[in-house]
Amino acid sequence: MADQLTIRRAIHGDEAALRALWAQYAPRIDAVVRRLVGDPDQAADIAQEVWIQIFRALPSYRGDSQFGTWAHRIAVNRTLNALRSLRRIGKAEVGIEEETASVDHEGERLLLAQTIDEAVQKLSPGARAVFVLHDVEGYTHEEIAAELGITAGGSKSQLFNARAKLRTLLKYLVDAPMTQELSHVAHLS
Amino acid sequence: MLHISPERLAALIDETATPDEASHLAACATCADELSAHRRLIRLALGESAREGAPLNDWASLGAMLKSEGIMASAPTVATHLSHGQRAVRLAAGFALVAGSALVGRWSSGVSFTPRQQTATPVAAAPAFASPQDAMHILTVAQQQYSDAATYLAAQDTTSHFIGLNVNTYRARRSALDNIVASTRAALYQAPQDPVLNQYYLSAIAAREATLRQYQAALPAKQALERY
Repeated sequence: MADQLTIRRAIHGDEAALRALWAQYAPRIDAVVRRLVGDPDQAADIAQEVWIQIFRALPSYRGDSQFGTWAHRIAVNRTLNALRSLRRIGKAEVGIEEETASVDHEGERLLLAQTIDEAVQKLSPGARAVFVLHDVEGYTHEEIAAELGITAGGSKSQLFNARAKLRTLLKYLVDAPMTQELSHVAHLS
Repeated sequence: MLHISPERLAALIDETATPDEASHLAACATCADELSAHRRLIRLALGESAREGAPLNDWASLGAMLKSEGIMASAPTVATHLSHGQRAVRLAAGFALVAGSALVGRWSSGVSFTPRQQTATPVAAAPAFASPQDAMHILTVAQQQYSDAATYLAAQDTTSHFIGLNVNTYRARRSALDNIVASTRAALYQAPQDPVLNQYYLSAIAAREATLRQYQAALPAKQALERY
């Protein structure tokens, strides 16, 4: 947890304090930027903007919430703004891209993902944002609607479509529960 | 009933099934398995929230950006842009901090304090404390020592004899110090243990007392202050 003295020093531009905050929170903050953006190069650029924004807003940090929570909100907001400015998320409710919405059996192995992170990158930017914000970051549909400029109903609709697609993309990861679950039980016993 | 659609199964993670859907799920192993698969997907997603990764940038590039944006100051740049007033305040604060550190060092080492023998030697290492209460006690005593020493040092200020300070100057200084005391005291209600605020508060209190003494000394005898 960031202490008040470090934050005060950071507000005054102290390099050691700024670096300490970045070192402590970048692994978590940058992870959410990476998940929302997808493209690694764009994610790095946006993460830099995010940190500049966080440090610029430091004087407004009142300590009402944990520093990490406060910074996380700025990161999500700034990332979504950046994606919007790149026209990757429009104000309009963006559906899942039709060409990748279903997985045919012939090309199945090529399209299937090995990890959830990899699968999420195959979603359209809008669907990815809704899924990451709701199912990973724990935002409500109302909060997502406010962030993305869509309706709560639109957020739900996108989420359910995204889940359905991810379920297909992650077929080998979420199928065959018996083997995995029995193995888990065996470890516990 | 036909199988439940993938999107509807995905929705049933958050929503309650209708009676028709519930009876279908009870009878259809395919749909029940699909619903279980969706639940496992959500558990995977929840696990992602705690996953961290390497930072996307290195500090060198981010630091350079912060400097160019004026958010991060490098020490030499700050020093060259200080006004004379800011420089004086910083010098005074630095002097007070060093003097305070020296006092704490002398006090904690058991050496009695003699003003004429003081040297501005910073404390080399943080002392070990037996408990938080012990640390709090030492902090309280050190703050009192700090305040006393700052008052003493301020009282030794002889510059007024050379630069022509007068009653009006002391009045203006006292007014400024009153504001500093009020604002730092208000801030201490929010952050009572903040060492920076404490130091500024105590320094301002001590300087205010010393100023009042100088003010009184500068007044004609019949206008002497009755209280501080």
